[in-house]
Amino acid sequence: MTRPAPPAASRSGAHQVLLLVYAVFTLSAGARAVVQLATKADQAPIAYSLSLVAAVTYALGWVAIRRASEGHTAFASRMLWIELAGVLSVGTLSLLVRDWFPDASVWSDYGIDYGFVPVVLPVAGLLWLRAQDPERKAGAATAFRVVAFAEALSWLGLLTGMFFKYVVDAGELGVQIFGPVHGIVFLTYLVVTLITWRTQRWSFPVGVLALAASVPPFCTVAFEEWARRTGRLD
Amino acid sequence: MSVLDQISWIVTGYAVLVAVLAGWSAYRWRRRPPWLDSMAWMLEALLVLRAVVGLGSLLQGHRPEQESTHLIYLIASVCVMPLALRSVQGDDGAWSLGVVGVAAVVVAVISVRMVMTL
Repeated sequence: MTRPAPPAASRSGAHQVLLLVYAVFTLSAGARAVVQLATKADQAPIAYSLSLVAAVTYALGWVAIRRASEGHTAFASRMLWIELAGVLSVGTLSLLVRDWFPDASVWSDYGIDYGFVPVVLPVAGLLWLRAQDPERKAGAATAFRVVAFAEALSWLGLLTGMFFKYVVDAGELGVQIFGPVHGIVFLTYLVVTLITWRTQRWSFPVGVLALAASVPPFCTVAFEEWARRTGRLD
Repeated sequence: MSVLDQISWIVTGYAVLVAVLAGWSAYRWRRRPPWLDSMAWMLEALLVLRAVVGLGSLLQGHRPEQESTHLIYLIASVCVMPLALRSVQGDDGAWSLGVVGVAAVVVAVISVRMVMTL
């Protein structure tokens, strides 16, 4: 006698990968925060508390994505923005108010200790959420345009900073700010490009060209313009 | 180099191999091949070996540099893969490759961190 197959808890899809990453980050941020608060809380209380906040955010993010994969997207559409705002605020604070961060927090320098995954994760989640909604399928192409433009802008900022640092010799604040900003936008561009590659069914050379466009300054905008004109961004 | 470090580096290399194979199959948008699960379980066997040897050295009185952190990594290292494979049981869709691949990357990172905290 065979038992009927149990109902699938959730369909196959990108959320499976997202759920795993959120679970891993909940546990690693949580364990890190608890150990640090328990053993050396007085060293960097603000940074360690913010790590705990990050862990709670990841736990809620996990719940949000699980609910969204079952069709209830309302919580996720708020939670992922809250998470992104959290990463960006803590990242910026850690650069501006060094005193609060004698030791690193999970979201310090926009999650540099975790390969910038913390800042890419909510963006990937939001893109996935948009793809869930059939009326906004075109979202991925729009996202690519926005990110390509942002990549060029961050290059502009970084080059301006380098101009003031090396040519005018007026300090390196610009580079300190736009260096990490450019890093994040660059990584976001790579992720969005890989998604767009799939959704737009680009050929291998076009996909590689799109990735390579992120290396020289302003080439992402040139690529975006070309892709749009040749019907590769519908 | 201690035996623990050697096993850790082998685990790291093998985990990267599993991640690359999963990533490649996901890029080709294939179904998850059964041999990838076998490889993932092989990786798990290596991790268990690493954990048993590591636990043995802890019980013999060796104190790692960052003891609590190291212990957490030790426990996490053996839990990640079974949980990931469990979550995609009976589902061989292309996205399940992503789950196995990400789990392998996590294992690789944990095993590098284990060497660093030892």
